[in-house]
Amino acid sequence: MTDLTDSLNVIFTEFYYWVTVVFMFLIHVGFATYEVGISRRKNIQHVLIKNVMVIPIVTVTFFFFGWWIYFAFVHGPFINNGMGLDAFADDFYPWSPLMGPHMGDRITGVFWAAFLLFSWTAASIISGAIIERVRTAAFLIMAFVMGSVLWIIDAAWGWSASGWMVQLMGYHDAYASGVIHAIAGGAALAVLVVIGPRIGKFGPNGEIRNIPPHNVWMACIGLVLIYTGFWGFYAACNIPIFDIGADGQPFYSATNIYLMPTTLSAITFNFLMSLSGGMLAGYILSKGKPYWTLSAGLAGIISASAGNDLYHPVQAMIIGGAGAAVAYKLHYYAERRFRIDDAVGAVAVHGYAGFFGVVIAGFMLWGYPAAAPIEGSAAPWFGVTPDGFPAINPIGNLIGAVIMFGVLGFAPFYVLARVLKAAGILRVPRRVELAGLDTNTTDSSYPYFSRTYTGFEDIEKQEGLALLSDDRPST
Amino acid sequence: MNTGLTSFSNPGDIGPLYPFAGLEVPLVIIGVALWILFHVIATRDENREWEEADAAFDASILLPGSDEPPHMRG
Repeated sequence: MTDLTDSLNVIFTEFYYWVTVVFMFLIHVGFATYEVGISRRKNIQHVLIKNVMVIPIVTVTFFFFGWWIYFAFVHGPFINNGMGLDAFADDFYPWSPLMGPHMGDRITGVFWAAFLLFSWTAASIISGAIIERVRTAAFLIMAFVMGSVLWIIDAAWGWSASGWMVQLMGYHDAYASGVIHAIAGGAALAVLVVIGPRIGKFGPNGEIRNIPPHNVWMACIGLVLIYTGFWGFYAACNIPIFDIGADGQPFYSATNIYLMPTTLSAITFNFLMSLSGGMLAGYILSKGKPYWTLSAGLAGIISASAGNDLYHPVQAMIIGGAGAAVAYKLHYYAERRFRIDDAVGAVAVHGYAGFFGVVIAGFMLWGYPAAAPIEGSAAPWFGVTPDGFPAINPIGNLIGAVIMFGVLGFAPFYVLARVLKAAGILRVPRRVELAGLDTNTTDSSYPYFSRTYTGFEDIEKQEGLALLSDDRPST
Repeated sequence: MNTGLTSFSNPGDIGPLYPFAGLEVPLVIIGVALWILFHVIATRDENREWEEADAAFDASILLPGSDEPPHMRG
């Protein structure tokens, strides 16, 4: 780079995405922390290792094929006007020189990493729902299918300016209510249906039993860590500097992923207000239970995320509160009616709230431009703006929500879970589940916080008594 | 003998910075093979682990008053 202004723009953008990646790591600290907090003492280390192994599995597979899918599948392929794989993706094969240190490109690595961290999130959402009975090996297969195949297909379709859902349906989902959360929630629900509840969760007469977490406040701190990482998630969904001017008149602004204008200030307002709306609703509904109040805060953000680039902050607050209420009520309805044992409420907080958020955004942002039309695209199905852009609309977003939750989330994961179950590798044996999944492989996670007897105490007492005897004053 | 670059004096002319540029396809094939091998080994080892744990199950943990598995009692 020889021009200083261009260099500053490029290097600022490079640093911007790099910072978002660092922030988003906290989401995964949070996931691990809250899953461990929710689990019982006999399962802690299994729950922890299952969760953190998302990181290497999704990372390598996202390098091998996930990133290429994002660029290649924007037209379906063959959904939008017969267009096949997009040639732009040729630079993102894993063997492309740009997929490595290269003096001619400073953005691919950090942009890839930002999307990768979204991929970890999509996989981790499923992880929490099925703790204390799923096998790690089975979960890791699910992790790469979600993190490096399914969610990135939906991102190509509905989270790219060129995506066929955006171009044809006016789909709008700026901060991934559907693209990340609804798809992962739908997938988690499918696995829960197949794997079944933990032993003892439901009584013989259908009564629902509470399985107490081993550490509630740890689970709550995990949720707050997810909030913190979410800042990076939101920032990473923006393009920091882009020329959105028309008729040759440059106008530089931040944009959303569809290259339509927003600002960091806008999403800061709305992130905090939707979080607050969710927490306020959760506090009332759960009668002040910390775990559900904080989960509802997350549901609040997720409910408003689809339109948080454009909402007024009070709109974000109300949508966040309403979405949290929908998530909370549906969680207990599904538990009662269908005996769904979602250990952490992931289907509710991510799946139901995400679905709700996408649908609401279609109404709230009705008529707004979704993205600039691309060359070769068919005419939008549900209306255009006066400038000829595909228009955001309720039908497009409703169909989009169904695609995210059902077509790309629930359906393929139902099949995958059935296959894993048929292969006998989905669930641990019943006796292992009763004894605890840490059986035979690890020691107790809290040897000193229980009646656990480690044998060391005898040595400590004998030697300690001898020391006390030596220290005793001679008087 | 060199594995890649020998000079940084003309940065505008430099493309890939990594050694053995041009061998990306075999590298990716090796990487994919290692990833698949991981799943095979992890699944096999876990199946064996659960079989052993299943066989070692001690029903006394189900007795009233027993709050943890035998192997955790020291």
